[in-house]
Amino acid sequence: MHSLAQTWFFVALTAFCGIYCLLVSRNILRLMLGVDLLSKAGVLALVACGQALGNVDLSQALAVIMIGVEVVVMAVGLALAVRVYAKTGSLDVWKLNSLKG
Amino acid sequence: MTAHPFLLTLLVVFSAAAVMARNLLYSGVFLGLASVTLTLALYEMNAPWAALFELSVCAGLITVLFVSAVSLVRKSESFVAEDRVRFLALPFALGFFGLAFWLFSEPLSAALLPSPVVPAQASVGWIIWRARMFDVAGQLCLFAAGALAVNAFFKGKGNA
Amino acid sequence: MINLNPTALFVLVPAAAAIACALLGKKRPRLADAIANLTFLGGISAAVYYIRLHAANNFIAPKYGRLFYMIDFFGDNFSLLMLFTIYLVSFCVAFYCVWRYRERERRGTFFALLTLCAAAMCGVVTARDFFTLYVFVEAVAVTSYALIAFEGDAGGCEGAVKYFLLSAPASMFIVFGISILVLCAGGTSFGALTGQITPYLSADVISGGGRIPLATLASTQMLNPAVTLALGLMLCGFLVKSGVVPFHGWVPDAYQGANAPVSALLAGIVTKAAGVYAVIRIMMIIREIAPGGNPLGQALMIFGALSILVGAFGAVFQREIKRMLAYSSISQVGYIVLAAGLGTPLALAGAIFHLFNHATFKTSLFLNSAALEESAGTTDMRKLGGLEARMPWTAWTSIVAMLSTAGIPPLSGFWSKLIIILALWQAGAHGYAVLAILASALTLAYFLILQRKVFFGKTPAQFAKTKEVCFATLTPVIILSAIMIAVGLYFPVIWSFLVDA
Repeated sequence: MHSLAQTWFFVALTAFCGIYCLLVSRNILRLMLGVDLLSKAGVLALVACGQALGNVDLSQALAVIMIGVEVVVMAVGLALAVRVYAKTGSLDVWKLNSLKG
Repeated sequence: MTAHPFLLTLLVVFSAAAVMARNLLYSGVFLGLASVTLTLALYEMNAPWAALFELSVCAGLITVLFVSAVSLVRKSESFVAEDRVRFLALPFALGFFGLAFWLFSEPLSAALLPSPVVPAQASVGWIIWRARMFDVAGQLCLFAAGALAVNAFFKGKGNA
Repeated sequence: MINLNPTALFVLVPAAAAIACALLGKKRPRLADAIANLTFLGGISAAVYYIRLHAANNFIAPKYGRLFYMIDFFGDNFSLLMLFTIYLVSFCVAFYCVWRYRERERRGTFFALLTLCAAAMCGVVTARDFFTLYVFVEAVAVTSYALIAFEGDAGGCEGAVKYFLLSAPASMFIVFGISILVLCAGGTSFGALTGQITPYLSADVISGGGRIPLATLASTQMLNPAVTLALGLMLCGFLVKSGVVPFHGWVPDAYQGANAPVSALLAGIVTKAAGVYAVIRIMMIIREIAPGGNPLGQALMIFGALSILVGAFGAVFQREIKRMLAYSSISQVGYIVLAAGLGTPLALAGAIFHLFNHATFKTSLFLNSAALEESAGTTDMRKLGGLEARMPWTAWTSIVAMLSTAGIPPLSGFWSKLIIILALWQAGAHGYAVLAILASALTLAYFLILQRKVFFGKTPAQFAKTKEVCFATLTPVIILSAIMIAVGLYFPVIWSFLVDA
């Protein structure tokens, strides 16, 4: 089986884990975990496509920048989760339904 | 390339384990292990720089952030009653999805592939620092934004 | 700094101002306000200057400046218009915040976030490369999470969390789309996609680049399926960020939970710059390379039409002003996406114009709701009433904005809706055109309900002492209303500007 197809298969599986985590979890920190898994799938996808193209350096450059972006997003997300905990005392995302009407 | 599918399978296994772990600390550990596996896979794919960044940033920084966030939240109050059945269903859902996607991925990559191979005449350093400098500027904006955001969140804890 | 591409300044200056605000904010908060506002004013004037220069065709930007080497990011008319809009809205919001939050601490951080958001959005609209677009869109997203949750009450946190949880996977879809694009097009810039530039061949680039068309793209009139998949994934991501049905779940909560001026910023610009701008850009590129029909455009039209309906019906049933304005935003963005999906030059011009108009009227409506919140203490429509006599300026500027949204001549909204409906009719999509007209009627209906409840009607006793907000706070709204009226009246001038886009 062609190696690009192989790698895309695993990218899809990892992305599926991430999306599944986002759909099923209630705990905000676990939701952040899902976001991070999606980011890993994204990095893998970038590098895999670059490799299939032959220009790995371009996709490495993109992947490096993307990893930097990902860490900032994760840090802000985790800080937001801690803030929610400090505000409402629970990490349950289903309990956040005060905005209605 | 024989190590390649093995490493990627390990990546999927660790990410599934991270999702399914009951204790959030174990999830963090599995996330770190998944990052390490991804590093090895990237190195295997001739992308040493990406592997280096992945190792230091994801396996290091993000795992540390995650674990510190988990420990900032005290365990007894933060217990969220989650439906364990849905989590345990992950391997089955994954297998089902994998089977379905397997049928797709060969024609998908065949459709994607016929592209002219662009000769890589530039090193990674050149690409980042000359060609894509605007991205680096964006990255710096992002870092500043992240710092300000975390500052805004944590300072605000003092106010009601 | 010789040969520095001038539009780089649009990004760098607010970024520097942000750092200055953050550092100076502790000791001298007034200075932070001044820096932010002056930066935005400078931005507005610079944008207007460049627009006039560009219109006179005097200005050939150096395509590859020395500092930002390869990414050519000078704007065409669309980018310039977006720059102007970004600075306009940011200035109005910043000016409002100065006068409203006079005793607030941590102003340095707030204004720093605001200017950084503006800087990132300028990066978004001047980028000529999808990956650069992605990085700046993420920067915009991070600043807006912080801005939404800035006040620290539970509503703000909830809005920020919901926005985060939908926006982060959307960013990943964009990355997946970019990776497929790297595969098909060999690079990620707009030029690579249209087959005009072969990226990353070393020395030729300085003189202008080789022109080797990539044979796999656009060989027929239809799009290559791989490119369709890539652009489709990216469009999904950007549609989530714009708040289009079926990805609109975060919009009502985020707009309601944020502080009112921040909601004004969000509705006015962030959704537009981070989301809809990219959608329109992608459709413009598709129009260039595949003039035949394409499935993405049709999908966009369906999503746009659904958004119009869901937004309009949702708004009728809301009882809280900011939430109703959020649903109205969904509806208007639906118009923009519908027009963008059509893809003809007339439709794209209409979409761009409606984008600009929507920024002006939503911002003024949100700022007015902030004024209401400040004077009357609540934004619940069930409790308010009859405030027109007490707050005449707020009332009348709101009425101007609402009529413009509904598309009443001679205000600016009428023209943009007319162009969109005409474009739909011309292209043969009669059903969509009729839908657009009917939804306009529905828009008028729910806004009339809002007006009647809040401004006219009986005044409950507790509001008898409500004063009008101070005049300085009203200035941004008055400016925006004046722009709406002026654009409506001077429409032929604007028209020639848009057609070049």
